Amino acid sequence: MIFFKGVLYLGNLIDSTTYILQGGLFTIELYIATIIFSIPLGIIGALIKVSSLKILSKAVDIYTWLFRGTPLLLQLFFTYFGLPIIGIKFSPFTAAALTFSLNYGAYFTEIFRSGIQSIDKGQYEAAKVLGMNYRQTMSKIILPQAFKRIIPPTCNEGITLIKDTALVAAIGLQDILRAAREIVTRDFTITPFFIAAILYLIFTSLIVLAFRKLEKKYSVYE
Amino acid sequence: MMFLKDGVTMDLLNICNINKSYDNNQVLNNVSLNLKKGEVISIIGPSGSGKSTLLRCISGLEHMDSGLIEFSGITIAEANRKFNNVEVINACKKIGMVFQNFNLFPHKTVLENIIGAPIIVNNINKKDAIDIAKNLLIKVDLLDKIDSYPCTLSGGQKQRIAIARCLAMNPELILFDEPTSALDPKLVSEVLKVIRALADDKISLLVVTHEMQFAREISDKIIFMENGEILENSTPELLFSNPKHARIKQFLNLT
Repeated sequence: MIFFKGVLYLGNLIDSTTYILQGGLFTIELYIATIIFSIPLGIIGALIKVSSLKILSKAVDIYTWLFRGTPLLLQLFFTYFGLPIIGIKFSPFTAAALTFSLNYGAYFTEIFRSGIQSIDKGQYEAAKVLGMNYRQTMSKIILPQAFKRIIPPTCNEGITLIKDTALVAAIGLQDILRAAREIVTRDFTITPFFIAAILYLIFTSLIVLAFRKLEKKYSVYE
Repeated sequence: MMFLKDGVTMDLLNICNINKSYDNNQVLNNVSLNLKKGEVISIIGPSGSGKSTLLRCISGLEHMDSGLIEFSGITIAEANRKFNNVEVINACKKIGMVFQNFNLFPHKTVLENIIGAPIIVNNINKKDAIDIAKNLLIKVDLLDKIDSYPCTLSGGQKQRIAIARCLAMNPELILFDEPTSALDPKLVSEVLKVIRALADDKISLLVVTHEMQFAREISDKIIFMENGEILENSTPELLFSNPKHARIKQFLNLT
């Protein structure tokens, strides 16, 4: 009898885990899509901010002010429920990927900008007296050094993003958290929450590990 | 050597009445100065007298409020004008500068620091650039550090690398902005030795320094600056033995 119960429990556990893992697949898809779009967005935003393009720079200011100053969930609702009212309709995944990319792009803009601006002005001067123009100075001297400095804050954002993906449950997307909660309400058991937590921990650990590798690679110079 | 028709050596650098102020603080007050090819000029004077600002105006790191700077007969800087033509850009590439705090590129090795600009600015191929770099490293006696990162070097070594990096661009004039002021006293002489060798090679130098003995030995002319003005411009012998201004006497006694 006990043995039978045990098998049943194990079977249940495997079923739940598989179900939640399917949600995990979605979480990863959204994660990758967001990274692919938000990082280039952040690079462009940061380069505009440190440039002398006044009007564009002002526009980027407004962009980061808006997206960092309002809740991500509000932005998600706006894209998915709000925009259809004026005739712009997205699939749930597109809406999520778009909102997340714009939101994280704003954060990355500020992180990359601060990284670039943290480089000593003597580096610009040395490049200038060696005859390098602005583009050469940025690409060969400033950005490679800024890259090293933005690794830790970018890692933080990378971790936060994994957890923020849970917000998409609010627009009906089947991510890790929503899948877990469904089983909890159906079976009245607490285990799925543990499974979800473990999955999140695995993802975030992998990200931390990857960034640690990157940091190590760039630790050859001060 | 460049000669005009009448046989007078043409000025390599010609600074004409430059003025510069930050807010209400006049840092350069009607400064004029000539430097002939092969000449070594040292600029001395108390801190805040505008010596560094003068060098930074020449290298284009600062803009002037008024005045004019010519290099090899080409106007390279003028108040309220921006120069973007190839002629000026090429002329400016012939002016090297060495900073007080080295400004080496920390993410590049010694070799990469030296070959970077020749490759990307002068389009020299990598192999030739490496050959040039190795020769320069022999010259500054640091060939064994070729693959080191700057953070592993001492101040004196960093400055010698900075000089090698500057020389790799084959400059006709090198501006030294207090090249030994950030150094441990023990390390000063190794850097001065390298600069002295450049003077012996007849490379034109404009050196801002607090090393009086050194300035006296290597310079053809010494300029004393105070409060943004050139108080005296004469030979080392005259300036050190019999300065015109009481202020210079006082300064030389102090140091």
